[in-house]
Amino acid sequence: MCTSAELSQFLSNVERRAFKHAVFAVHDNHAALDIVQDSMLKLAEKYGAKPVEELPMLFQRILQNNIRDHFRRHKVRSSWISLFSALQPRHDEEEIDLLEVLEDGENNSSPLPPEESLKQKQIIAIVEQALGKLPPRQREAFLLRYWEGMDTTDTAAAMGCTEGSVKTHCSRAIHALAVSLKAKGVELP
Amino acid sequence: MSNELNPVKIAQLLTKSAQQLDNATLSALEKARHKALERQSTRVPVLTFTSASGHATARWADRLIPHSAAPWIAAVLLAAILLAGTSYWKNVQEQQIDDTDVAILTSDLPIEVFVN
Repeated sequence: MCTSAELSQFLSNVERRAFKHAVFAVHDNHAALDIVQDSMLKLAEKYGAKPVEELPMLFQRILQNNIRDHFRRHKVRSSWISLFSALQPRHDEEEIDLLEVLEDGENNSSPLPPEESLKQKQIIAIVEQALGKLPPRQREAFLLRYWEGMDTTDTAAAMGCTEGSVKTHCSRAIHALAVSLKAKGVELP
Repeated sequence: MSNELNPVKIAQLLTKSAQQLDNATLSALEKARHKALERQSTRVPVLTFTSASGHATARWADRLIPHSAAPWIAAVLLAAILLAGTSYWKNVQEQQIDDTDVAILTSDLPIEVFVN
């Protein structure tokens, strides 16, 4: 059984990446924060007694389900909004551009020289944009496999699909990213 | 072309990006983590018998009776207790009626029967 300290350690290790996962999917920082918070609560409440080695797979599964729930709710909400759009004035939601978000982080002190730091941030922004444009399942597979460092079996369990599907999604994601980055003339350092 | 892309390098860039999150986001994440830890489930497996081998017994019982089945088991137990109580009560009532019948037939009614 996982102790409170172990759960705390796990959550603090995973929270930043989980936030980025959610941002890539929903393109909204506030919604992404809500998704991560909800995922943490669900993990602690429902699986807080599980062994610590089972937590990564369970957390990723909860996170991905919450992202899907967000889209479902968004779909229902937008159908109601479109229904009443003729009666109500339209409110344009503020869209948060990932590039702007990254630019906000320029205030943080960075050990790199300014030119390199800027170049790296530009590359990161392009990579993140390319990731954000991937189909959801491809992005999910790529991030779980290569960023979370999960093996094919765990990725398949977290995604609720077969190992073959994981391999296919990853291969397609790598290909799409390579094409996208090459089109923008990005060479990875 | 796609072979030139190294996913590890992409992962490294993403990690750097995650390290550059703004303070407001980090603070919100920390709050969320603390909230989650406050609600961590410390559920003890149902129908666990305490013994010297505490954890082993708990895990064995947990495996035997999954948490999802616990409400059903509780409902069945409650129904069984109610059924047993009702049948016991009926049995006692029937016994009392039989005793009264016997008393009537033998003209041996107790004095309290005549008391209003």
